[in-house]
Amino acid sequence: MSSEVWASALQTLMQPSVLLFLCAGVVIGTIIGALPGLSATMAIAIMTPITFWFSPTEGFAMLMGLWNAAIFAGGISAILVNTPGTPASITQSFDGYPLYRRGQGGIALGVNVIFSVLGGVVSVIALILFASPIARFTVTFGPSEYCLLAVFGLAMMIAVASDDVLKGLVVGAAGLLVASIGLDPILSVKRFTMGQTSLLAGVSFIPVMIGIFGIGEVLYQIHIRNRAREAEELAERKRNLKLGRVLPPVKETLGLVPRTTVAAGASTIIGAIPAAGGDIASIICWGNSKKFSKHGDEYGKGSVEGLAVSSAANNGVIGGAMTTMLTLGIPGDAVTAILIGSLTMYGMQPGYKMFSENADFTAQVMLLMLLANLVMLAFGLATAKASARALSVSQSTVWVAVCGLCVVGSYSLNNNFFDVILMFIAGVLGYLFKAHGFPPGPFILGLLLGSMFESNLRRALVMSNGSYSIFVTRPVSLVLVVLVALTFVVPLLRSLQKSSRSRRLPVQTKETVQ
Amino acid sequence: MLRKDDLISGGLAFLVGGAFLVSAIRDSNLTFEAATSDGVPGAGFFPIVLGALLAALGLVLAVRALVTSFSTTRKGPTAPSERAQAVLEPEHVAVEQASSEPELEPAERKQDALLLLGTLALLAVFLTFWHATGWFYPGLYVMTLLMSALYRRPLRFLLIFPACFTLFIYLAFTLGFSIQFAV
Repeated sequence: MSSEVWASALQTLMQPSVLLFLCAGVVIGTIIGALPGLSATMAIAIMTPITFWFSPTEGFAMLMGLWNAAIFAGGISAILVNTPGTPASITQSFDGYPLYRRGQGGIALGVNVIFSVLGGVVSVIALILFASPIARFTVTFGPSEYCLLAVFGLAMMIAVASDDVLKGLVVGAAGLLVASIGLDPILSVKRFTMGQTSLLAGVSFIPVMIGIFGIGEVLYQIHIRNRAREAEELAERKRNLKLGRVLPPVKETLGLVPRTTVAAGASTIIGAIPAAGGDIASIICWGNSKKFSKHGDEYGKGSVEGLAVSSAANNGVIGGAMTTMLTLGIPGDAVTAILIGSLTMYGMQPGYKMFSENADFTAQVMLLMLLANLVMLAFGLATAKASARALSVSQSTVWVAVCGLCVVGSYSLNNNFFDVILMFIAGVLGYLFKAHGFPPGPFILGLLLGSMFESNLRRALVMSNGSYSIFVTRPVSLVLVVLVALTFVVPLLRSLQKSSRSRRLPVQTKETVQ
Repeated sequence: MLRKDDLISGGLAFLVGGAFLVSAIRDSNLTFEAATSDGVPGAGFFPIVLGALLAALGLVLAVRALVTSFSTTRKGPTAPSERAQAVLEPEHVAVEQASSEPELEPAERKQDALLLLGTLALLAVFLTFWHATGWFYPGLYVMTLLMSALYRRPLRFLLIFPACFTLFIYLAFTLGFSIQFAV
C-alpha cells in the first residue's frame, strides 16, 4: 500500500467521532473482559449489530478497541480471582494470582497492561509488514486454492478445538450443511427454505454467533455453576489484599522486553494459523519461556517474567488472526469469523480484494489496531486499580443483561424478528454443543466457510471438466492438500502414541505448578 | 457404562443428516450432477454428500458410544484449564485447577437444572409475548424482573435493575438508533 493510502487513513482516523468510538470500545472491552464469564467473543458478537448503525470506520474503531481491550482485561480476573476472564488468560493466573497474594497485585496489573500492549503492537507491526505481500501472493489463487483454504481452515478448527476429532467432524459437517440452506451459490436454486422467504439468503451468520456465544454461553454457565467456587471468589474479593504500586521498575521492565517480544512474535505466527487462538499461544509461549528462562523455576510461583510473557502472547495473537482474515478470508478465531461477517455486511470481501478495492479501509483497520493499543496503555494504567471493581458485578446480573442484549442485538441487525428466533435456536444449540462436549468452533466455521467451499469447489470442477486432479496438479493446492491431510493424521498419530505409552506406563508421576 | 450423551447426539446427527439427504434426493431441482457437463456438481451435490457424511458420522459416534465406556463429567472438553493441561502435561507440568474444584451436590445440580429451564422458559415466553402483542418494552421489563427473581437477587436489585436496563435499551436503541422493535 502506498504512503498516500496510509496518510489518508491516518487523516480519517483523526476524526473526533472515530476516536470517540475507539475509546468507547476500549472502555467497554476492559469492563467486559474483566468480568469472568464474559469472553471477548461474546462481547464482539453482542456489540457487532450495534456497530452497523455507524460508518464502517467508526464501527471497526469500536470493535478493534473492544477486542484488544477485552483480551488484555481477561488478565485482570486471572490476576485478582484466579479465574481467567477469557480462555486466553489461563496462563496469566499461574503467575498473576501468586503475585496478588503476595501483595503485588498492582504490579501484576501494570505488567499485564504494559506487556499486553507490547504484544499487541508487535503483532500489528507484523500485520502491517506482511499482510500486503501475502495478499499479493493470493492474487494467483484460483477456485481450487480457495476451496482448499476453506477445507484447511475447517480441518484446523476440528483438530484444535476438541480432543475428540469425531465430534469436531460431526459439528463441522452440520455447519456446512446448515450453510447449504438458501439459494445455491452457482445456479440460484432454492434449497431447504421450507417456503420461508427469510431463509432465501441463507441462515444469517451474526444472529447464530450471538446465540451461540451469548445465550448459549449463559445457559452453559448456569449448567456448570458451582456455588462453592463462587463463594470462594467472593471471599477472595473481600479479602482486600493491598494492590500496591501499579508501575513496575523501569529497569526490570526493559529487561523483560527481549523475551516478551519473542513471545509476541511467536504468538503472532500461532495466531495466523486458523483456529489456533490466544489460549494455545499463551500456553505454548509460557511453557517454552519457562523451559529456556534462567528463572524458569520461578514460573507458576509469581514470576513477573512469566506473567509478562503470558500477557504479550495473549494480545500478540490478534495481529496474526487479522493477517489470515484480511489476506485469505479465513478466520483465525471466532472473533475474526464475526469480523468477516461484519465486512460482508459492509459489502467488502476479505482477501486480496481488501488490499486493492478497499485499500483505504484496510489501512484504517491496521492503524486502528495500533491506536487501540496506545489508548489501552493509557486507560489501562490509569484505571488499573479501579478496573478491579468490575469483578464485584454479580454473575447473575451479567446473565440477565446478556440475555436482554442478545435479543436486542439480533433484532437490530435487520429489524427482523426471524433473526431473534434464529438467535434463540442457536443459543439452545450452542448450550447443547458445550454441555455434551461438542466444540462450537467447527460449526461456526462450517457455516461461514460453507459458501466459499462449495462455490469454489464447483467452479474448480467446471474448470477441470469434472476432474478432481485440479486439486493436486497446482502447486499451492497440493501444499494445502498435504496440510489438510497432516491436520488429521498428526493428532491421530499422537493419540495412538499416547495410548500405547499409557499402556506401557500405567502410573504416571505428575509435577504440579504450585 | 454406556456413553448415553454420545449415543443420543450420534442418533440425532444421523437423523438430521438423513433428513437433509432424503429431502435433497427427493427434490427434483437438486441434482447431483449439473445438466451442462459431465462430472460437474449440481445444486444437490453438496447437500447430498454432506447429508450422507453427517448421517455416517452420527452413526459412527453412536456405535462408538455403544462399545466404549466413560465416566460422566459435567465439564466440556474445551475448558481452558483442560486444554492447558493437555498441552503442558507431556513436557512441563500438570495444571491441577480443574481437579481442585469442589464437587457439586445432587441438590445443587437440580437447582441449576431448574435455573436453566427457567431461563429458557422466560426467554421463550418473552419472545412469544412480544410476537403476539407487539409490546416489546413491557415484555423486556417483565423478563428481566422475573429472571433476576429467579436468580434470587435482593429486593432492592429487583426494584432498580430491570427498570434501569429497560430504560437504557429504550434510550440507546429506540431514541439513539430509532429502532422500533415492531414484529
